[in-house]
Amino acid sequence: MNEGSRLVAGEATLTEVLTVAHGQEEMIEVLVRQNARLVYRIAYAVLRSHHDAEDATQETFVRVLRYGKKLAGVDDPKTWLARIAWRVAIDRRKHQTRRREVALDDRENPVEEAVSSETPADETLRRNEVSTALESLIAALPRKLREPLVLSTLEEMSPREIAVTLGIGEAAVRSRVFRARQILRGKLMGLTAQSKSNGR
Amino acid sequence: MADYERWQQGAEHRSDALDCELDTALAKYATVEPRTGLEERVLANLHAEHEQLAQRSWWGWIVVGTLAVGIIIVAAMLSWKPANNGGKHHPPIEAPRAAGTQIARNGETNGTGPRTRMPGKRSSVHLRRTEKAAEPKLDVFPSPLPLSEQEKMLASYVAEYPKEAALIAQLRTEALQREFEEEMRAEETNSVR
Repeated sequence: MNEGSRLVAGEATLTEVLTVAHGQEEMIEVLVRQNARLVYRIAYAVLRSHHDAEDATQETFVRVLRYGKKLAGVDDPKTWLARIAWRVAIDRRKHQTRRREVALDDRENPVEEAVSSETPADETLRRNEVSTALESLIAALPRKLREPLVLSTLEEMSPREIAVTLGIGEAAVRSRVFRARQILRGKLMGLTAQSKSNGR
Repeated sequence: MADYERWQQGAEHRSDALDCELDTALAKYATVEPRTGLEERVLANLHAEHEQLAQRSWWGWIVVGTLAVGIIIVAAMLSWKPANNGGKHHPPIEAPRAAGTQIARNGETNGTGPRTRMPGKRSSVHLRRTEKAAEPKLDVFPSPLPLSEQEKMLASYVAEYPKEAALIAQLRTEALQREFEEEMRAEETNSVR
């Protein structure tokens, strides 16, 4: 290989590298625009804090930037991203020192339950109590049941995607979610009966 | 029986209602929206991070390039020294042998083989001292050690194919850089998992 052809090869390689780099940036931007909301919701489902969820979202995409070369070979970017977001959120929760915010008390949450004029006030209050209780009940579930249940509440995640995110089988996801719901139903039934007896 | 059926129907109704309530509560548990402009904030942060990474990689390549140039210079210096010193060493080695051989032949004729080596040795020592006195003083510190066989082979290869040697040094440096990056990535992947 003479000097001239070596120079040409070198320039071609540099052009290819630059094209790949620009392509990666565009891919990451598309990934952000399409999946930032999902990543945020996954993080919030674990961390239960808007501030922490946004930090976790930022960290997730920073990791995607660092592993940008792997992105081209990923078949399912959404699930791949969900897995990273999940791991980031779990790691953050381990280091969390302050108490989790309760969703209803979070004033930053723009999505609040609209008070319907048709819904009786006591019914609204009861639903709020159930939601508040549910936070504690879900947190008290065993980890193996809690994690699939939490992800199953996200409408964007199918059982297959949950299975890939958690690294378990799809059948395991379904059975664990079913088991978790059974436990929650039982506890809610007990709470409902207790509140009725207290009300009487 | 009718009472039992009514009770059963009531229980099913309560169960359905409870399921509905649980579904509603779980949906509410997950219903959360980020603050407006999340994508823009993430992209701005990524842009800043990308610039930082690019700066770090530039510094890394400068260090790698400097090392590669250093390796090439050392290889070139190694190839230069044996070419200058090799010729000078040869005569002292050859001269005493020739003298020794001649004297040995004479000695064989006279029948005094072992004794003939001593005059050869003296002459070789005398020749070496003479050669050393004739050599200019080299401004090299520390004093060069004799090259090992591997170093001689490398030096001769670099002398004969300098461009290929430089290319090999560059490729080896790039391979080391790739290995380092892979190790970093592996560490990162382990932390993600």
